[in-house]
Amino acid sequence: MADDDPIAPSELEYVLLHFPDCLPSSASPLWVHEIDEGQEAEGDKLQGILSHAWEELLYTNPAKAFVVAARYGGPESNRYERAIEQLAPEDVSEIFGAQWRNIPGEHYQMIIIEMEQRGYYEEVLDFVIGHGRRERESFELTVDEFIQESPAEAFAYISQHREKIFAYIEKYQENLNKNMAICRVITRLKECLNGTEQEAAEILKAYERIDELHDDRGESDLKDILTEDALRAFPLRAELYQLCLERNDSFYWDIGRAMLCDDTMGEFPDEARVLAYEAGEEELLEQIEGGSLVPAYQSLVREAKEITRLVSRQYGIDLPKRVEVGGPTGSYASIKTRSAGSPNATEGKGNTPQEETANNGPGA
Amino acid sequence: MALELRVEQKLKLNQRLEQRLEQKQQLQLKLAQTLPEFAEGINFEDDDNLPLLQRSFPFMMYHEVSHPLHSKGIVTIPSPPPLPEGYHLIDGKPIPRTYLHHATEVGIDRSAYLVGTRNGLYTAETLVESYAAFVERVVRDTFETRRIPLEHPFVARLQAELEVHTEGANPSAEVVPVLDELNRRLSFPTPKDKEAYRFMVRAYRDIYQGTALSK
Repeated sequence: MADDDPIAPSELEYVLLHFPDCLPSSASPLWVHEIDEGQEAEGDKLQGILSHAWEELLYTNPAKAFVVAARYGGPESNRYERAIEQLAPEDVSEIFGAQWRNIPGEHYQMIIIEMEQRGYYEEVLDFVIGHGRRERESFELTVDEFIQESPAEAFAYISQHREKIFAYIEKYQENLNKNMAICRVITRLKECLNGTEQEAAEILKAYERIDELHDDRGESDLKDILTEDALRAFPLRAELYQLCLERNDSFYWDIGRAMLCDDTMGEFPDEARVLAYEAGEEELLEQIEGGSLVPAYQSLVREAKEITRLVSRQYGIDLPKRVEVGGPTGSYASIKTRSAGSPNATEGKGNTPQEETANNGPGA
Repeated sequence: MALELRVEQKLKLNQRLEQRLEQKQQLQLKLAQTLPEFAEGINFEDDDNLPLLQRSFPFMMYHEVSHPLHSKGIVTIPSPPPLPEGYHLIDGKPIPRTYLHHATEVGIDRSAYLVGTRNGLYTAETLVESYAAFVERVVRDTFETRRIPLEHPFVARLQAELEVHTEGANPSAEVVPVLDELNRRLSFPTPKDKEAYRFMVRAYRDIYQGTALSK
């Protein structure tokens, strides 16, 4: 190899990935050994070029760098560890896909376990199911850990791929119930309903994920979990209610009903008020108002109406009969009448509407 | 999914939960604004101190309905005396325009008291208490939160009215602590400033006592 004739990067990559199997393992492209006497310098040079090529590959294509490290260094090697740290989910998919044939069979199980431990559950399951791998322990373990670690993600994945999982279990895992994955993840979500706040947040996340995926069956399963009784005890039901409102999901009504029970209504008087208002539940509305700010404002509005009514009658003048909450900052209060063509004309001060802001109220 | 991605997702979820909590806190006012009975007509500002808002409310309402009574000639308000030469600035700020504006407002305040005590919805005592609560809000917003700027004619108007209510045959005990608090907060850079202020207080007292209802 002459100095002025550098090897193209693509050729180096080819050498790294397709080193002839007929050569002894000690002659691997990454660890050059057993160099003929007098050729040590050439051997060192080759070693340097190949090492450099791998380092570049690590940053340009971590999946290929991982495969080379696994093939020539094995799972114990430093390069294997370095490569695995660089992997993104799409790299893992590539390893389990196009690169899998370049990995020696003796490392398969180890790599699957390694990826699963690093949280690449979806990629591992895609691979196990897609390749029809028969190791029951591995499949069951991955499913269970996925469900335990990320219940919402596991629920979204299992629900979305339920037919594929059913078919896989029926064909390759005869001793397992085909519903095992969906049943187990539903059980876990039920635990989350009454778990820690972090676990409860998984329910919200599951709702969001299923909604993003437009997974009707998943939505139906989730709503079966969130029964009225379960919702009453669910600590983040107000947040779930908000999510449903944002998405215009009629499910908010069920959640709202759970808030309207006697035990919890006091915690969400305003949400409950909206529901009661929408439902036209007058009696309930009055009951709820005890714990809300709104009735205080309503009381002031009634007071204002009463004052304007009495003063109008007493002095025979037309004063506004309708009132609202909220006013321009710093005004404390202001009065307006409504007349044809001038909806906001200010009465009694001789101001134009433009001047009104500057002269509003007793404090201005 | 990579560990770091999951951590990132959890952080995002926490952020969203915080946002939702804020939304919940804003919900109460939103509700108030969207309910059908809260329609155009009279505005009043909400206040963190709801009891203070409730106490000051009757006075504020009567003050506001007094404006149309004044424009229809039912309330007559004496004209203020002109500001003497040398009294046109307090703390370096010109006062003539606001002096004239509050001269009318003093009369409107008096009208609020007179109209309110006539129609029998509140007792005179309740209305004076309501007025004291209103002054309490102004003092808080001017001197503590500084939400509204200090305007000496406005403060002079309040001082004049409070002073009137502490004198006479039936002095109102409720206004004394409010007046004391107002005096405690006030300070003047020069004796001339204080003289100008006292001139306004005297003028406003006369207007307050001279305001009358024709019906």
